[in-house]
Amino acid sequence: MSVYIILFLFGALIFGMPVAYVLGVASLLLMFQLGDTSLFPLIPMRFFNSINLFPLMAMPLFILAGEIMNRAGITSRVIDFSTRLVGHLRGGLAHANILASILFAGLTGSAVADSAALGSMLIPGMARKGYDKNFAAAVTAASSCIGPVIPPSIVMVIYGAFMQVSIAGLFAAGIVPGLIMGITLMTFSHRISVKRSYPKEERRATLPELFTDFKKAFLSLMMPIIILVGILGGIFTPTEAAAVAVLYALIIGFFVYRNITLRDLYTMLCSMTRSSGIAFIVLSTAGIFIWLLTTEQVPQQIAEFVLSVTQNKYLVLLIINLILLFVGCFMDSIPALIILGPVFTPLATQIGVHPLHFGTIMCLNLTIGLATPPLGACLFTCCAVGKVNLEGVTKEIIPFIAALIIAVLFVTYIPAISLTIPRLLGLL
Amino acid sequence: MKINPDQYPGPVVFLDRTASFIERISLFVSVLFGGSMVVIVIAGVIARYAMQNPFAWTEEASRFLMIWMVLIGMSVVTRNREDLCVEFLVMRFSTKLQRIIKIANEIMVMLFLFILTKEGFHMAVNAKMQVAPSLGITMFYPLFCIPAGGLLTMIQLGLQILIDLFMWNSRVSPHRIMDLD
Repeated sequence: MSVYIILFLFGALIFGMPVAYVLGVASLLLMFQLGDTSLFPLIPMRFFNSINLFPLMAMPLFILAGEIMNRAGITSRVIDFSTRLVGHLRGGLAHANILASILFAGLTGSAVADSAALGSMLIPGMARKGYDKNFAAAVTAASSCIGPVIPPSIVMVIYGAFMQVSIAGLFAAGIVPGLIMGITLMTFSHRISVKRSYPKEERRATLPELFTDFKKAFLSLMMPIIILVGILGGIFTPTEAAAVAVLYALIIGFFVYRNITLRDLYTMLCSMTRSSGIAFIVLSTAGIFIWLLTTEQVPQQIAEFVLSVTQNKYLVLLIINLILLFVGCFMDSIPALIILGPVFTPLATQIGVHPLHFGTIMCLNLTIGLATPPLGACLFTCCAVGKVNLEGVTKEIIPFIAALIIAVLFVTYIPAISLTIPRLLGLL
Repeated sequence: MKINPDQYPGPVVFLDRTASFIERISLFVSVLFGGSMVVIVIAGVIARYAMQNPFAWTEEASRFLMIWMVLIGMSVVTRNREDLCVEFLVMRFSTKLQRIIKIANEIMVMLFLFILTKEGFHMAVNAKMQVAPSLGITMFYPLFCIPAGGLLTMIQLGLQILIDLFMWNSRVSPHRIMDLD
C-alpha cells in the first residue's frame, strides 16, 4: 500500500470526484499498482457482497417510515407539544426546537430530514417572535444532530451491518448520549437567550392543555416506542422493526390522518431509492477498497503506528476524536463512517474500548460534521428552508458546536453513559 | 431556476433530454424494486408474528430486490450528481479548468464502471449453475443487476461526458445543474 494511493484519495476528493466512486477508482489503481489484474473479478464480487446484507435493509425502511410520518403532518403536532412543555422558559422556542429534535429523532433517524421538517416551520416561527433568524437556523441545525444518535438511526444501522456490531446494542447505547447532547445544547441556548433576553411564553401550560397536545401527538410518539421496545426487547430484528414502522406509518397516514395519496407514496419511494442508493454505492465501493486494505494489513499498521507514538488510552481516543471531527467537517457522515470505521476499529479494540462504546463515539462525532461549515448537510438545509445565508449562521452556530463537542467528550471519557443501557438489557 | 435552452448548443439540449428520459424510466424501475422489497419484508413480518408461519423466502427475496433497487438507482444518482461531490474548491477555479477536471474525473469513474460491468457480467454468467438457497432460482438473476446497473450508469455518464464536451466553450460552470425541461 503506497502513499500515492492515499494522496490520490485526498486529491480526487478535493477535486470533486463523486465520493461514491472515489474508493472504487482508488481500488482499481491499487490493483494496477500491485500489477495484479487477476484481482479484477473481485470488484463485482465485493461490490455485491458488501450490500447483500439483510440488516442494511433497515436503512431504506427507516427512511421511508420517516418520510411517511413527515408527510402525514406529525411535525406541527410534535412542535406544539414541545412548545407547551418548555415554552415558558427563557428562549422558549429554542428549547422547544431542541426538544422537538429529540422527539423527532425517534421518528426519522436522519438528521437532514429533521432539519428540513423542523426548520421549515420553526425558523420562520422563531423569527416572528423576535429571535435572530440566524440563531434560529443555528439551533435547528445543531439540534438535528441528535437525530442520528437517538434510535432509530441510519448511521448506526450502517455501522452495525458493516462492522458486524449488534445494531440493537448500538441503538441502546445511543439513547443517553442523545439526551446529553440535548442537555448541553439547551444549556448553551439558555445562556444566549438570557443574554439577549429572547422571549418566553407568558405562562406555564396547564395540565389539561398539556394533555390535549399530548393526545394530538400521541400516535406519532408511539412509533419510536414500538420500535425501541420491539428491538431492545428482542421481539424484532432492527430490519423487522423498520418494516413494522413503515406499516404503522402507512396506517396512520392513510387511515387516521388521511392526508397521504398514492402519488405521495410514489414520491416518497423515489426519495427512499435515491438516498439509500447513494449510501449503498459508497458501501459497495468501500467494500472493495477495505478488502484490499485488510489484505495489505493497513489498519493494523496504522494501529501499530499510533500505539508506537502513545499507549495512553485517553490520548489515543482524543486523537481519534480530533481526526473524526476534522474529517466530518469536509465529508458527509455516512461515507466518513464507512471509510474510517474499519481503519480505527482495530486500534480502539487494542486499547480496550468496547465496540459499542466506540461505535457510539464514531456516530456521534461524525454527526456533528453535519452542522459544521464549510460542508454540513444540516447547515445547508437550514439555510435553504430558513432563507438565511451561510455566513450569518456560521457565526451563530459556533457555541452550539462547542456544546456538541462537550457532549462527545462526556461520551468518550465516561463509558457508562453509552454502555449502561445495553448492559442492563443484556446486549453487551 | 430555469435556464433558457437557447443558451445551450442544440446537441446539449437533445442529450440532456435523452438522459432525463432514461432517468425517469430507471427511477420508475428502481422504485418498483424498492416498493416490492417493502411489501415483501412487511409480509414476512406479518407471516412470522401474526400467522406464526414464517415464509422461508422473504429474507432472500427482499435482499435481492434491494440490491437491484440500488444498482438501477445508481444511474439516477449519477445522472443527478447526487453522489456527494466535494465542490467547494473546484468551484473557485475558472470554468475551463472546472470542465477539464470534471471530464478527467468522469473518465476515471467510467474506467471503474467498465471493469465493474465487464467482470460483473462474467460473474453472473459463471453463477448460472449456483442456486440461491431458499428461493431456488439460479444466482444469475440477482447477480445480473451488476452488469445491468453498471451499463445503465455508463450510458448516463457517457451522455454527461458528451454534454461536457459540447459545452467546452461555454462560460456556464459545469457544476451548475441544468434544467432544460
